[in-house]
Amino acid sequence: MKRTIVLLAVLGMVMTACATEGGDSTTTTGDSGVTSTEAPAPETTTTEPGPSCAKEDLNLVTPGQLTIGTDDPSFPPWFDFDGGPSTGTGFESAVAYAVAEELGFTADEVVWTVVPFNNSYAPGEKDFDFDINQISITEEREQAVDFSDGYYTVNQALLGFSDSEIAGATSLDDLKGYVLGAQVGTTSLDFIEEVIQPDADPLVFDTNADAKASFDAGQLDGLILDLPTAFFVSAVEIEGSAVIAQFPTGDDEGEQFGMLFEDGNPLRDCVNQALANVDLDAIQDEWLSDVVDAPIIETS
Amino acid sequence: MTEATTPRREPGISPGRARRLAVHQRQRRRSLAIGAASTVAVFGTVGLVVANSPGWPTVRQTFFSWEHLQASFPEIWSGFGRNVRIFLIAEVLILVVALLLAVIRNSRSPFLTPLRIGATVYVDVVRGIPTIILLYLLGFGVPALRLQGVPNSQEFWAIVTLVVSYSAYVAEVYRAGIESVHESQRSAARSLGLRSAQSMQYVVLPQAVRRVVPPLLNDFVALQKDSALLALLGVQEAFRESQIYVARTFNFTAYLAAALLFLILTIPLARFTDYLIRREQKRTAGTSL
Amino acid sequence: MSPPLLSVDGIWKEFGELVVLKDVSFDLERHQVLTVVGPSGSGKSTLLRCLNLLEPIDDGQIRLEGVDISDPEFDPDPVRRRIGIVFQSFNLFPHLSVLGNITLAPRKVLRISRPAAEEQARALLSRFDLIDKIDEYPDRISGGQQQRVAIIRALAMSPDLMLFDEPTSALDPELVGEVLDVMRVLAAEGMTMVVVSHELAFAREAADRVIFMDAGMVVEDGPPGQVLEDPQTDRARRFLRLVQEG
Repeated sequence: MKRTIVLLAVLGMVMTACATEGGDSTTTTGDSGVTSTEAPAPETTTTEPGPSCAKEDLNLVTPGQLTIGTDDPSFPPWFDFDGGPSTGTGFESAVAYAVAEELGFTADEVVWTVVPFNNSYAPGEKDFDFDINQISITEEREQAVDFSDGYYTVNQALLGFSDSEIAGATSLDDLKGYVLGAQVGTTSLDFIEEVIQPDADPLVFDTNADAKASFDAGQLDGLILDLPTAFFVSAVEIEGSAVIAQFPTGDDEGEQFGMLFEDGNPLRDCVNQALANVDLDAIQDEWLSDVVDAPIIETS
Repeated sequence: MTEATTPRREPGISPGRARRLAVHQRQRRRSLAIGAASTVAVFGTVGLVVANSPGWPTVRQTFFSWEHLQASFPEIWSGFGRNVRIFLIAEVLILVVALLLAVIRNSRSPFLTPLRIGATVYVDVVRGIPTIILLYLLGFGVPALRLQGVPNSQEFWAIVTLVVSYSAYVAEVYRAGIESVHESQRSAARSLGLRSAQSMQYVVLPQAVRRVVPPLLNDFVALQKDSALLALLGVQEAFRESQIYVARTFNFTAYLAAALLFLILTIPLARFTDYLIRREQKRTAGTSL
Repeated sequence: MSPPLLSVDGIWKEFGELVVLKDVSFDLERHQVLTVVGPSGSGKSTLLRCLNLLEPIDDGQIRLEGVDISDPEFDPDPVRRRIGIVFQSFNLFPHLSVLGNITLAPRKVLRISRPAAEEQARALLSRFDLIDKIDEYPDRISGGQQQRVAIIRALAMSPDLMLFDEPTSALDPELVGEVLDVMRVLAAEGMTMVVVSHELAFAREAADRVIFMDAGMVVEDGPPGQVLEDPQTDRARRFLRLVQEG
C-alpha cells in the first residue's frame, strides 16, 4: 500500500512537471554550444568575405582532419557496399571527396565515422564535421541542425513487384488501397502520410534494411524510397522488383539532399563555398546516369 | 475441582489500559507526522534543486512537455491497442505451451522420451537466444521463404516469437513449482489409488501453479514490455508511434507518453502479485510440507 | 480356511548399503489390529510404505488375500485403493477444502459421481463430528482435526486395510486423544489395522497383537498383554522402559 502511494506520488510529480508552464509546441534544443576558435559565422550562404575558410582556420572536430559521417552499411549508388565510403565509389562518396579537395584536404586526411540515419538529424553535439547520407533538407530538421546547400534534387519513388497489382497504379488514388512501407523519420514516410494518405496504416521500420526485408517477404505492397535507391534495389538487390513510379515534388527546387552540420557550425559556409566549385553535373552523370526514367505520377 | 473462572472485566477502561492506549496513539501520530514531514522535506528539496538547475527548462520542455504529450497521445493510444492485443493472446498461449513443456520434462514414461529430449533442447536453446534475433528470424526470415499456407502477418509472427521465447522461461518456472511441491503430497495421492498422471493433474500441478503465480506474473509484465518488439516488423504500435512523433519534432515527451501507458498496466499487476503472494503464504502455512 | 488378509513373508528392504528391513514376516487376519512399536530407525515406517507399495521390496513376498501384490510386474494402483494409509504429517491437499480432499479419490479413482461422493463424505464427517468443517481449508483447522480428516479421506475409499504411520506423533498432546478416539472406533467396528505408534495405552486397549521391531527385524510378536507387560527379550524390555518413563 505504501509503495503504491509513493508510485502515485512520483507519477503525480511527472504529470505536474509536464503540465506546468505551457511553452511552445515546437521545441528546439538549447544552443549546442559550439566552441569555435573564430567568430560565429553569419547565417548567409554568400561567398562574401567572412571568416577565413583556409584549411588551417576551419572549425573541425579533429584539427587537420575532415571527419565525415554516414550510415553503415552504405548502399550504392551513393557509396560502395563492400568497400565502404572511403573508396570514392558512388555519388555521395564522390561529392564528399570533391568538397574535401576544394577545402584543401587530401584523400588521406578524410576520415569516415558511422552515424545511423536516425541519429544524424537529431539535435545535439556531433562527433563529425558533416554527415552525408541522403538526408533531405526539411524545415523541421533545420531547427535542430544546419544543412549545406542542396547537392541533389530527389524524387520519391515507389518500389513494387512487377508482377503484382500495384505495378498497374498510375495515380495517387490508385495507391490508397495498398499497404506501403518506409523507414521511420524519413521524408519518404512523410510522403506516404501527407501526400498518398493510404487507407491502411503504413508499415514503419527502423532501417531501410528492415523495410526491404519486409517487402521481400511479401508483407507489404510497395516501398517508398528515393529514386536512385529504389532503382538500385530493383536492379540489383530484390529480384522481380521494379520502380513503379516516381513522384516529382511540387516545389520549385524540389526536395534536396544536403550535407548535415551541427547547429551553428561555421564550417557550413565554407563547405557551401567549396560545393559551389564542384562540378555536380559531372559527378551525377558518372554515378546516377543509369537511373531509369520511371513513370511519373503527379502529386499536385 | 472448581473450574477456573474467566476474570470478569470491569465495565469501562482501567487507568493502566487507558494510559497504554494514549501512549500508543501519541506514538502513532508522531510517526505519521515525522513520516509526512520527512517525505515532504526530501521530495521537496529534490524538486526544488531540480527545478532550479540551469538545464531544467530545456529538460522539461524536451521530456515533459504538456503540449507534446497531448499532441502525441491519440496515435500512441491507438497504437497501444496493438500491444495489448498481442500480449494478451501471447500470454494465454505461453501459459499453455509452457505447462505442456514442463509436464513433458517431468514425465517418466518411456513413450515420451523423444518429446522429453526435444523439450530439454528447446528450452536450453531458446533461453540462450536474444528475443530480437528470434523475431527477425521468424518475422522476416520465414515469410521470405514464401511457403504455401504460412501466414504473413506481423502480429502473427510477433506472437509466435513471443510464445516461442517466453515458453522456455515459463516452462522452467513451472518446473521449479512442480519440484517445490513436497514428495509427500504425491505419496498421499498415490496412496489413495490415484494414478501418476492423476496425481500430477489433481494434486501436484494445482499446487505448483499456485506457488509460481508471482514469477508468472513477473514474466507477464516482461512480456507486456516486449510487445514493443512488434515495432521492428513495421507495425505502428505504441513505441513506433512515439518514435515517429519524436523523429518529426525532436521532442522526447512522446516516449514518456508511451512509457506511461505501459506503467498503467504493469504497476497494478505488480501490486496484485504482492497480494497473491501474501494470500498463498497464509494458505500453505498450516499444512504439511 | 481362507488365507489371512495380509501375509508378509520374509521381506527385505535395502537403501543402498543400509538394510532397513530384515526378513520381516507376520500374518494379519481380517478385523485384527496390529500395533508395531520400536525405536526410531527400526524400519517401522518403511514397513508401512512397503505394505502399500509406495516402496518396492527387495526380497520376499507380500500377499493380500493370497495374491502376491509385491510382484514387480503387478500393477500397484488398484491395490492402493484397498489399503488406506494415514501419515504422521497428515499430508492433506492444501488447495482443496475438507470436502474436496475427501471426495477427490472416490470420484477420480472409483468413478463415483460427485453427489454420491459428497454424500458419503458428509456421512463420514458427521459420524466423526467434523461436519461443520466441511468447507474449510486445511490451514484453518487444528492438527487433530486435520488428522481426523486424513483418516476419513482414507476411509472414503472403503479400504480393506488401514495403515497408520505414527498418526499422533506430530500432534500437540491435547489433540492426540481425539485422533485415538477415531482409531478406537474404527477398531471396534472391525477395521483391519496396522498401527505404528508410541501410544502404548492405545496398543493395550485396542490392539490384538503387538510387534516389537528393532534394527529392521521382528523381535517380539504376540498379544499386547505379553509383549508390553512381559517382553521376552532384553531389547524390548529396555525400549519399553524408556517409553514408559518418557
